[in-house]
Amino acid sequence: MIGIRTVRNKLLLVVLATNAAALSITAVLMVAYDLHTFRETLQNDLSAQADVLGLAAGPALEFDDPEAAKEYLELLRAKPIIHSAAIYTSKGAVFATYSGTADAHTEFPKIPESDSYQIRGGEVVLSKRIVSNNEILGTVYFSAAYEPNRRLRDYLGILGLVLAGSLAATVLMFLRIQNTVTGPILDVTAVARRVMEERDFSLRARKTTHDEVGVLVDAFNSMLSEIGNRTTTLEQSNRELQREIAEREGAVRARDRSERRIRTLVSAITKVVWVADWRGHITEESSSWQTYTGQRFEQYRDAGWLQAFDEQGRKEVELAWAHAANVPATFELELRLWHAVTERHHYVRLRAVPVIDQDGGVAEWIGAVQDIEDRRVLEQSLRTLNTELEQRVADRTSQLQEANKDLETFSYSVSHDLRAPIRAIGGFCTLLVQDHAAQLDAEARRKFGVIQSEAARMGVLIDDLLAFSRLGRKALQATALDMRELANKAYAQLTRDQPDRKVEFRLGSLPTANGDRSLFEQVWVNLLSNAVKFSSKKENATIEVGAISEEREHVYFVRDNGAGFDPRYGKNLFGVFQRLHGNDEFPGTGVGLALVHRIVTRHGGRIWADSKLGEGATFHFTVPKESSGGAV
Amino acid sequence: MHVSERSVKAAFLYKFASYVQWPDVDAKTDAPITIGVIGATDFARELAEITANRTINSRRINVRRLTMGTSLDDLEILFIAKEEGDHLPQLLSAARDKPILTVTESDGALSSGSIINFTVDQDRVRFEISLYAAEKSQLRLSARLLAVAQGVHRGPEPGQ
Repeated sequence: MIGIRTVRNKLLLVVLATNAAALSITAVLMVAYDLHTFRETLQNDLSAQADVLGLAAGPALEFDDPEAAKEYLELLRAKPIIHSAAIYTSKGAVFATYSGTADAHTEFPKIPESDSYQIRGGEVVLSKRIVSNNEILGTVYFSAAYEPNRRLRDYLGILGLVLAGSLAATVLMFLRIQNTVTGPILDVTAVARRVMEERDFSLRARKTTHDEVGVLVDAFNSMLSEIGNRTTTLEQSNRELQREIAEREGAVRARDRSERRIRTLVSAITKVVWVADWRGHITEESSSWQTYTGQRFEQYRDAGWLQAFDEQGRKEVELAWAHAANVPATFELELRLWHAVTERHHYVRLRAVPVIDQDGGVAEWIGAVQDIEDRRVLEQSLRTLNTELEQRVADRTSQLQEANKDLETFSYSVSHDLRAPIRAIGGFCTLLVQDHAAQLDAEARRKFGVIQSEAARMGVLIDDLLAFSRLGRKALQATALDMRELANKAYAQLTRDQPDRKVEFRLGSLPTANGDRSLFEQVWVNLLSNAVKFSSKKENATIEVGAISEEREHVYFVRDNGAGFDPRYGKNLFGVFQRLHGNDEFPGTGVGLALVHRIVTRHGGRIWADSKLGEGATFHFTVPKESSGGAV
Repeated sequence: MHVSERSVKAAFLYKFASYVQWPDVDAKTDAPITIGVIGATDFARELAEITANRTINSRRINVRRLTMGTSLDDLEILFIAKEEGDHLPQLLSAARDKPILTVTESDGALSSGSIINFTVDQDRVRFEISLYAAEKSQLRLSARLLAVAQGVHRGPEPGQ
């Protein structure tokens, strides 16, 4: 036995209790019934006894035989309950008597009652008439013990014995058959206990019967498997939950950190930062606003902050706000705000950003005010400076143009005035040599010859200079030019006087250019004469002319394999009187390339040269596809 | 109170009817029980008085005074007084083999074939019974009657 709390003991208790209750109820009812009927039974019993005795004693009475009657009475000794008995005659006289006790001190009534049954204390007294053939023969009288308590005592004793015996039998029977009932339950209990202790949901109870316990085992097993599944699912979801919680905590930490950072940022910021509700009313204190404007919270709360702007600014803010309230959008204004430290209005940039709530409405406005006073001042002075500068540049430019014009006029007049004396020198030298040849020796003639050629060179130089200066004043007459034809004609003109020179001239196809015909003739003549001149000392001189059309301009080039030049001096090529070679090596005035440069740039183009000393040179110039008609 | 011997006998006599079973009793359920008395006139008169309003098993009682030579047919009980003691054997033999309860009051009457014979013992009226004679007469006597009889003779009397 493991204590009262096992199914086995409970079952035993139930069986015993049921048994005892049934027996007790039965016994109580039986006792009650028996006690109820005891009196009646006793009466019936005694009455029947009296009848029998009366019947037997009838003849004795009829034939007056007391001895016979006495003998019948003596038979009552077999019934110890009857203490005493008597037979009376029909006339009421005692006929025969009987006493069950040894001391024959029994009293009998003088005259018996007619039929009666009375209980007096511990005894019953019965009188019964003896009747035969409708005739009263006599009376039988009994006095018997009446002891219902003793009977009850006997009954209870028997009941006790029966109860004890029955319960003992029940226990024995129960112990014999309980294994078939509680055994499977105990099995299930053992498995359940193991499951609880080991947390092992794969255990299963063994099914041994097909009764309700069998069903219980099945249900238990399916429950175990269900619990096993649920536990697995639960643990898995637990793990996921923990992971999610960790993620959530991470997110919360990150959010907290970000919020702290923003708060710190706002407090660290020197700019004025403010928060207003959807109407533009400031509801929270802003220390930066307070510091900047000197307004107290009571002054700038609600719409009071607008008072810190000048009148123009106030109007602008109200206008912008009215507009932004209809279409919530960020707006930016430059206004004048009262600056408490300097005690005057400063230029500020007010920027207001709406915070949109979930319904698409404006929850509140967040704004920033940036002081741009310094920048505005700086900008103002910069603008003033710029204007002054432009004015100075314009003044200087006009002065320069004036000076340039004077210079050109001066150089033209100088050139023009120089031409006549040089001609005179050359002409008079020619006349002197022709007229006085006989008087001159060979040396004098040679010296006059030098004077003549130098004067001629001087004339050419002056012509070139005149042409160069003329170019600055001449208006361009732009037409479509066949550049190939121009180049070809120029080359033919150059080489007409030198038929014995062997030069390979390669002329590619050249695109049409828009420009002044006489000026581009000059360009081709000058570039090609340079090429011919600087390749004159090469055995197999080659001159190549080509062009490349680019997006906005045509690039023409002239390439020779002549002497070339040091690229370091490339940029000096196009200045007036700039020469890289001696006149004795390659004759020239130093004006040709300057002229070309001027013509090309007047047409809006560029010119440059590539070369290496001794490896020839390539001159490039460009002409815009659309004529610019620009000036020098 | 003194009761005469004859009064006691008369009372006894009609009471005997209660303890006797006659043959063919079923056929005579309504017929009265007829008691014939021979010899004692006062006895017959007293018997008639006693039984006047009495019945035995719902049968009324008819007392008839008989003389010698009268037919014994239709009798259930025949009382032969000791005054007729001389004719006793004659009378008894006439009743023999008939279903008649014969009652006498003479010493040794049983040996003459009487069924019940009154005796007196210490001034008390008693009676003796011959079962043998009763059987001869096809009568059956109640055991209760036998219980109160002074003597019961079961076999044939020595004289017979």
